[in-house]
Amino acid sequence: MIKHFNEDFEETYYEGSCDNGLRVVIWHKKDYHTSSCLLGVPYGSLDLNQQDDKGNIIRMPSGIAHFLEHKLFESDHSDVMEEFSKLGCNVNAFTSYEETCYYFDTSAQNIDKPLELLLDFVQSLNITDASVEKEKGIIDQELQMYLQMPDSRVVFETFKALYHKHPLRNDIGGSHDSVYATNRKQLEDCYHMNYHPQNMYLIIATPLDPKHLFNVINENQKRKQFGKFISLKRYIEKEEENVFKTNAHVQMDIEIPRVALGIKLKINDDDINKLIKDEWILRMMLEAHFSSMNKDFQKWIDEKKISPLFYYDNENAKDHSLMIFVDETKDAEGFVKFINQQLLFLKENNINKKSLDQLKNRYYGSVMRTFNKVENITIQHFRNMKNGLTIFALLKIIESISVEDCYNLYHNLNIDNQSLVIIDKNSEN
Amino acid sequence: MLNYKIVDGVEFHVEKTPKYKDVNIEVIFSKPLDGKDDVYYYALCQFLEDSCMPYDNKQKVSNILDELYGAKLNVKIEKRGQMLILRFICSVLNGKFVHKDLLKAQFNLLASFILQPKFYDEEKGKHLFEETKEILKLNINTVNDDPAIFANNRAYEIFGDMLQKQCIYKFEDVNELDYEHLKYKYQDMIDNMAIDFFVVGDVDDKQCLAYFNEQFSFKPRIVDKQLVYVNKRNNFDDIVEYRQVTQSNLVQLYSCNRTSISQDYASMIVGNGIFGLLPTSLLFQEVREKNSLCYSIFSDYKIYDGIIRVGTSFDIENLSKIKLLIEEQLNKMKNGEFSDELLETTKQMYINNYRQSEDSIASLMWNAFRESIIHDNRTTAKIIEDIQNVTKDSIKAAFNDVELKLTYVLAQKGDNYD
Repeated sequence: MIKHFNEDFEETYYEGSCDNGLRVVIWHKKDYHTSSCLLGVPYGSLDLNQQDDKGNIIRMPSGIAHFLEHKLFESDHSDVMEEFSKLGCNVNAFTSYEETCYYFDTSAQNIDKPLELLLDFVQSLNITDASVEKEKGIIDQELQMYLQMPDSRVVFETFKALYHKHPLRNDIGGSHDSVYATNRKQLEDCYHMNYHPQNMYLIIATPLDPKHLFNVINENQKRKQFGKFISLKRYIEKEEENVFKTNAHVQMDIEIPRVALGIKLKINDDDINKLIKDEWILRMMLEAHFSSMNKDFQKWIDEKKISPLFYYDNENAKDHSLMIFVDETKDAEGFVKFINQQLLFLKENNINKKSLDQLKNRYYGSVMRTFNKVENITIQHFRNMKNGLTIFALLKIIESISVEDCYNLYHNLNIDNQSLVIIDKNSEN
Repeated sequence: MLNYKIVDGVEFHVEKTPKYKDVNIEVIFSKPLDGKDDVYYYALCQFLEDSCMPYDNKQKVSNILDELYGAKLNVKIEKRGQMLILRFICSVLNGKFVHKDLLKAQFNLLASFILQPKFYDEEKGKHLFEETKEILKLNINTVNDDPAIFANNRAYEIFGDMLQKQCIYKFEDVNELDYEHLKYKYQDMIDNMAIDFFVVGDVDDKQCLAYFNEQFSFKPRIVDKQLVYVNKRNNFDDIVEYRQVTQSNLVQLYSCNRTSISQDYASMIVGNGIFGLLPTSLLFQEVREKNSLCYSIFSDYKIYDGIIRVGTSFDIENLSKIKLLIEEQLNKMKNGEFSDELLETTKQMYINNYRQSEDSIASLMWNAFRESIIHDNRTTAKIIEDIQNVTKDSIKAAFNDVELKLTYVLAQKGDNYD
């Protein structure tokens, strides 16, 4: 293992890999009681269709990554959650658009057993047709739960309106129909294609001895056999530049309508560092303009151009790029007009150096704060690591952003591909 | 934690630890929860958090927070047991990482927001007051728009007693807010509420105290810090209400006659873990895992109220089945029909969670605050010892006092439910 020490942050971590390709990082947090271990796979809901190096396309139902996450907790001889509980560990998992993560935390002074249990249950799949069928009702209730939350629903509906074919238009868990269409064979295929040690990352933050833990991991991996690793790529059908729907309307029993303006962007680059930099450029520009950093922000609230609950978000990845502006308002038309005026204003005026430096200060503190919780360290490190970065390298990217970078990216950006989504009580479309 | 009494009713606590990259200061103002003028305390939080005289608009607030490396400053209201709490929570990067004295600036910042509100400028104060009212209205709508939160709030309201006082304000309360009375409430908070200052981080306690004394001066006050009570509801109600939702919500409230200060509190905590709080629990295993009737089901032991709350979301056609399954699991608890293995596993889980809480800034502060009220010297080691001593018989005894007092269902409109 290679030891790294960051003097500015006073943080130490160790990095290594097993013979089968599993990458391991251990952060040594000697003052803590808690150990947190995360086993992550860069396989999320956007990966439902994949392509091998011969060009074959493998298609799966939407929500299959999430379904698989549910089923991995099943073992042929015991209940995985109960096993972790017996060892005094909290275990859980989540699926996002880009990844699936399994993790536990514990204050135990020896984590050899739960660590091996984490590796063992994620690295084996034991399901039956009956157990797959049983899970469908549970997942369906989970999907229903999210569908009745207006704040997350408005974002999901915006993705659906923006994209024609891109899997972002599906809920992470899929739909009622896609969940009921999923079968055991598909889950097994999906598992064997993606859950290979060469495609996995184990991140630990712990007060315990890193070298000992690495040995435990290494010995565990030596005992296991895996098939040949087949590299698969996410397959995205060619997406049109325009949006799928310019307007969408959803009826829900809510007091104040939720309104979202989504903007489909085209910021393509194969260089991951460039993609991340562009994402942060856009984030900083939007933050400097559409937040209380802007002196006009108070005026906008006073004049009811926006409500105090207004927020924005942006995302920039290899196969999709977007901005979204969300508010609670009865005047959707006025909201759209206002956001567009401001986006054009931003094109003419750019961000100033003072605001840029202010935001860099903020993000420095924010990155520093990541190290206060072991659970935050593991997830942040995994997300950076699958992009070939560390938390410190990300900070350097942010620090490198200049006013000129902002101008060059934003000035020529096409912001015309927009979708407006309204959720309210009215049933008219 | 080092404790200093400043004057009667005002205490200062410091926990020196090298763990965290920032310094966390929390100022807790507390008073008995009487249910009167509650909306004013929600309004005060919003008003005091937005801005203050030295930083009198949102931009200036944003600038000073970023100058302190993305500092956080929030003002929150909480209602726990029979106590109303206003918390000023401020975290700033430890200055040693950037070679600056950020601690002094942090105390300055807190003093600005606590002692120099916009009430000192009539025009600015009234302007912010109007915005505060708008935000309170938006917030209540947001709560009402989430069926699970709405159902919980309605159940508390119907239950009555202290739980009713723990509910959020009503929309019409906001219209009746009066600026002069809000000013009065602020002054009452400064002059009469109990105050606890907590500092957690890699700091010197004497230095913290010196910065505190530079910035703050409070009058002595007579305080009434009571957290725990036992609810008095005798009757049982079964209520169904309807809304246009895609999933129904069930909330059941049980009295259990045991609180945080009961001798056998640990039996209730461990018992609740077996009943419904953990993934290994009877409710989770029977209702979700074996019958696939819901995604989540939980039982929450409200240790300052002596109440167990069961909650789940489900398809309305399964209501009778779910209610029956919950009742069956409760009877298993009363009869001790759970394995020794499950008992030991649950104890192990709680011991782990209590040890882990020593890494959490929020837990450190809350435990110190609780200790300042109850004075039972309940350290993590003592809690772990109490948990280890829990037996099947002690859980049976505790659960035989558990009695269902309210079943509330927020049902899907249009479905046939009788």
